[in-house]
Amino acid sequence: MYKSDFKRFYKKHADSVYRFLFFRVSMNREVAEDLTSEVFMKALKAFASYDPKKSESAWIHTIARNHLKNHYRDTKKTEDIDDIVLGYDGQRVEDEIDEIRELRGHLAKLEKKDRQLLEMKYIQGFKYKEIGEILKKSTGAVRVEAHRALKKLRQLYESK
Amino acid sequence: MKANKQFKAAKKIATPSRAFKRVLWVELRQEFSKEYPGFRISWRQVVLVPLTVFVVVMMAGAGTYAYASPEVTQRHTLYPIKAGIESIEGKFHRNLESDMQFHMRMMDRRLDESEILFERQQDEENYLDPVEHEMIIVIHGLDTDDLDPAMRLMIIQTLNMHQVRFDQLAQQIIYDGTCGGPHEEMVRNKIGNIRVQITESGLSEEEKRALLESFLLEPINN
Repeated sequence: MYKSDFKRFYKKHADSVYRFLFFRVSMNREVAEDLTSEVFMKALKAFASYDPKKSESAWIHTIARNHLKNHYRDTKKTEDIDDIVLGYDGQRVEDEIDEIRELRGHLAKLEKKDRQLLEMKYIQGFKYKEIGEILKKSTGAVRVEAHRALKKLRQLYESK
Repeated sequence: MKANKQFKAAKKIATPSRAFKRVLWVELRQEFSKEYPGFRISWRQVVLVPLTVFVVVMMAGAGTYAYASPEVTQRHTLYPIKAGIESIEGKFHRNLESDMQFHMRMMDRRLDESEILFERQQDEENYLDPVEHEMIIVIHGLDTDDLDPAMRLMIIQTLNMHQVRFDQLAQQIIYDGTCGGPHEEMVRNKIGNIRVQITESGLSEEEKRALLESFLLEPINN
């Protein structure tokens, strides 16, 4: 377990962890930053026992999900993590939200699994292989499902 | 298209600031040192760094040795390195004069190698070929009016000295009479070929005579 390994790990996953948390804490930067810090502190403490043969993305994603669940429990939130669609509590600058308001509306109409796939691929920035590792599916299956989900989303844009 | 644009916007909004990431890494680094005090140096630093230095030094040393030593002759393990370096060196000569000087130097090096191969009684029939090749390049290079007269004279004098060395080596090969290595007919043919190249070149009669005189050994047909 070496510092250089952890640095590489942190650089690779910091953005995706933050993005996952950000939309689930109502786009509140301060909270997202606090949670991201805590997630990586947990990862650091557990890093010595991490099995390099397993997917890094799946491992850190599990830590982030569990940590977020704890946060919800502590703040008495009852929402399902996967039901939140680009969560927003009305505190942010309207211009920023306007840009994604339509996307949020369309995503909300999709099935949970499609929404999750699109978010992981196009917002969190995961590769198909990483999504497959997290969702325990083959890369090919993920690619096909993401393609279909995107097609559904485009149809929603067209039918507007 | 609109979806892609809005995904990009969402991604941008949800990007952590660089300052945050930097500060978090500082905190993580400090925590790391507390959590894993024994692991300051990675195996890469312990193994790879000295190994890389060793390999680089060895390669640089081998390259220098290969290039500089006449002992590195054809069939030697390092000969491809020597030939590679010379080939790169040969590409840097942009004008005729520097190109001629380069080939004169190569002729000298090939002669050194041939003399060593002869001393070793090397069973290598063609070790005179590279010398002959360099000599012919230089003779053809002289077949022009573009050379400065002083440079031209210097090249002819040097070529003359190399021809004397070549001739002496050829005589030794013939009269030594050892098994293996170039045989008499081959050696005389080479001398004959160089003579023909000189005779048929556009050099002045005086230059031709000066060059031809340096060969004591007669070609096989004389």
